[in-house]
Amino acid sequence: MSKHVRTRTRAAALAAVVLLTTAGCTTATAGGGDGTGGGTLVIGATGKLPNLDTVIGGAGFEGKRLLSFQIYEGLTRYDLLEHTDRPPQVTGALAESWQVAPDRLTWTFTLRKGVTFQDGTPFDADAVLFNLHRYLDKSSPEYTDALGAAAKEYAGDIASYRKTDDAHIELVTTAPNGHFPEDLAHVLIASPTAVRTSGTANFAQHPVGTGPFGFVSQTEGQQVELAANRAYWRGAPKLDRLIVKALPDAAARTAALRSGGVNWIEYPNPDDLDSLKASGAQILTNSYDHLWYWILDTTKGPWADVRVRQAANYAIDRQAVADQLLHGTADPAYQAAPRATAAYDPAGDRYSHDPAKAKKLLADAGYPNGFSTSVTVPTGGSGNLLPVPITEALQRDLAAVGIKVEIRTTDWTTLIGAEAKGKVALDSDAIAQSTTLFQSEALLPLFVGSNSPFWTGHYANPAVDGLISAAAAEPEQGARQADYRTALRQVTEDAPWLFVVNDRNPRALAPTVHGLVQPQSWFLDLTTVRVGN
Amino acid sequence: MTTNRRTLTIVGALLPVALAVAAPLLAPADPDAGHLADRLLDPGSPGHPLGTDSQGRDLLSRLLWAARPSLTAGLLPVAVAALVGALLGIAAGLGGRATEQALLRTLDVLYAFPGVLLAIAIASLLTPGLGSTVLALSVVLTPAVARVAFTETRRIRTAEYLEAARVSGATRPALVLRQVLPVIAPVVLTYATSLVGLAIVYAAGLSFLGLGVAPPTPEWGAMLDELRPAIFTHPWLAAMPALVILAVSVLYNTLGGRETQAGATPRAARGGSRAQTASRAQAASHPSAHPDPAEAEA
Repeated sequence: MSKHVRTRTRAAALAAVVLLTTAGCTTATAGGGDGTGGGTLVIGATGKLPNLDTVIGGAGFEGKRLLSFQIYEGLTRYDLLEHTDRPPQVTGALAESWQVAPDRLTWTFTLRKGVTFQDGTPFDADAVLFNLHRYLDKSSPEYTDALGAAAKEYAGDIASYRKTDDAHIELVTTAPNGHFPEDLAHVLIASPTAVRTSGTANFAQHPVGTGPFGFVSQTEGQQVELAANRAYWRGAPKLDRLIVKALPDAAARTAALRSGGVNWIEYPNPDDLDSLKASGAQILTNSYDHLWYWILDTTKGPWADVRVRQAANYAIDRQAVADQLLHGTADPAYQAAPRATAAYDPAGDRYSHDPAKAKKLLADAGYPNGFSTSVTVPTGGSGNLLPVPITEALQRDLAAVGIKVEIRTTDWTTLIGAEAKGKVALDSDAIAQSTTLFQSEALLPLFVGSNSPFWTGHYANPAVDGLISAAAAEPEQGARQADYRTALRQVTEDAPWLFVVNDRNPRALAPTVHGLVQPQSWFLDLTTVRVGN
Repeated sequence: MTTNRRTLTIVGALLPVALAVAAPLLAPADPDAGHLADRLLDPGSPGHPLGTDSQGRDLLSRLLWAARPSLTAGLLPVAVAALVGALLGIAAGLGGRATEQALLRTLDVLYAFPGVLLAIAIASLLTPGLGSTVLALSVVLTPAVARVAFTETRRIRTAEYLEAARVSGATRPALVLRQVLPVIAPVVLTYATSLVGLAIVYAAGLSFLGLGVAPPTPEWGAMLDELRPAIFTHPWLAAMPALVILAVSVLYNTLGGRETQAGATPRAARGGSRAQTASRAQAASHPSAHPDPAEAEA
């Protein structure tokens, strides 16, 4: 009997705790909690959450967008608030300004004064040196192979670095690199004190940067909670809290938004947009430098023949995919350059839906009866839209001209992991996925140049290589674009890819979310966002 | 069991198979053909009695064609498990103590995993496809059948007619084929029948998770996965494959249950009442819930 009573008391106590906790949450969500009134933004993300140690990431640009770029900054950053009608420019972050010497190799960065990390550590030239050691100097006690490998993408061509005085850092690149300031937006700077305190290996559990949101807690693989950095140098963000949840299933994201479990979802299922709008949600879209494509292995079987690759590009009905399957959340891609880039030229749109032309090209190439091939498709992932349904639609279009495609599905982590080693998961003749072009120009030679670390399509055109490196040497972005435009016109003609659609970055926000500026970018500035009535 | 009842059972069991075989005759359209302009049409749309899927393909045609891989993935593993399980059970039942312990403990290890988890683990180690589904489910279902076969074999191990056969010089294979198998077969088969419904649900589960046949080949589980995102906008379409999986598994479960209850074996009278045969099958299949008398002896 007494045992019963005790059990019941304990249950009541537990219920009280649950009630109190829930009440606390409600207050925070409503945004009236602590006087600042910015509320709590809860975002449902499509992919897995990134490793929070600076550059390691591993969850694609979505992970950077929602977490890494909120916690940390580099010497530079994308200005994501200024325009929404053209791609964002790079501006100063931890560096106020920079100059390149006439040798086009030596860059001097003037550091911003008065910035502190979220743990109170002042930012200075030594902090930059500490981070560069951690990424590039194998003899540094804080260096790890994971950091070194990840930093290579953007900091790989730094030949040397030193501080000239407390306010200046000098960086020397191995070759002229006009887009170096853009690259540095991705070379994130962590608090040296915090790295030393938690130890370099455990820093992902206790990340500290200078960004607008500071780390609070994480449940591995499920959610990360951040709080506003009140001392942020551009002014405190309006939100109180930012919570990012991993919700890889589109139906689960929609359900979470409807039930109020989250108040923002990335990439809602396009079929749900009308009903979400009807229930009061805001749907935001904007073009950005996104391309959903197949990387064809240009050394494998019939794909080695440019006419076959062009035939495949003429065979598919991109308009139907964009309009019917994706309900206008994407635009058809008739060329290599995504629409929202300076390299895009409407006159360069080449591949209309023309099955007759496709058949003729196949016949000319010696495949009048078509051929069989295979494609590896991820089931989800950052920027991948609806990978399997899109591929099934393309499979039918290609079958209509005689190209029989076997679809092999795998998860995004497996696919991207194999790719990082230059391999194709499941050993197919092609990969279906999405990519960025230009948001980070450092990646461009990796995608269209030859012999890159993830050169799965084996596309090589010395003319394209030449144009890309000529462009890189040009410090003016405007001048680089002309070379890029010529290079991508050549890529369009060589058709090493099946160009499919450019996404328009749809996201659905609860009616209580205000102030989001949706730029032409993979990334977002969340400092203007607030949650309230 | 009356002849009528038996006929009904057989007809019921063969109905889904007949639909699968007749898919080319019954399906109104090519299951893989479709236009994105016709996607997600509701049931009752002109030309598409059950509507279309998210690729604009005819749902009725796809459900009919999907019966082929879906039933194969449900029925074949049960057949494999019945055969392999019977042989393993007999080997354990007739073999020496070492053989018996080695086999039973190995099966216990497999038994320790929840069936569906074990199936996912095996299938995800293999290349997705019908073959891996069949293999995975065969491995999952075999231990249960083997236990039943073992218990039955143990029961007759010391029977006089077996002694007589041994004394008269029957070889071991002859003993198994002529004396043991015919006696235990009814119980094993009855028990296996009751696994078909479960196997169909497991198979649909694997294909739902993308471990079944590759697109565009239709399979019930994969179709459910494909239409699941439409649940908010077109709930009836999303429900179609689910209803088919439900109906077919309930059908086989009911038939299997009836067989088990009826103890449909002409030899049942020899070993005891029909009810006893059934309870033996059930007891043997749940060793943890019902302590096995045969094991206590050993």
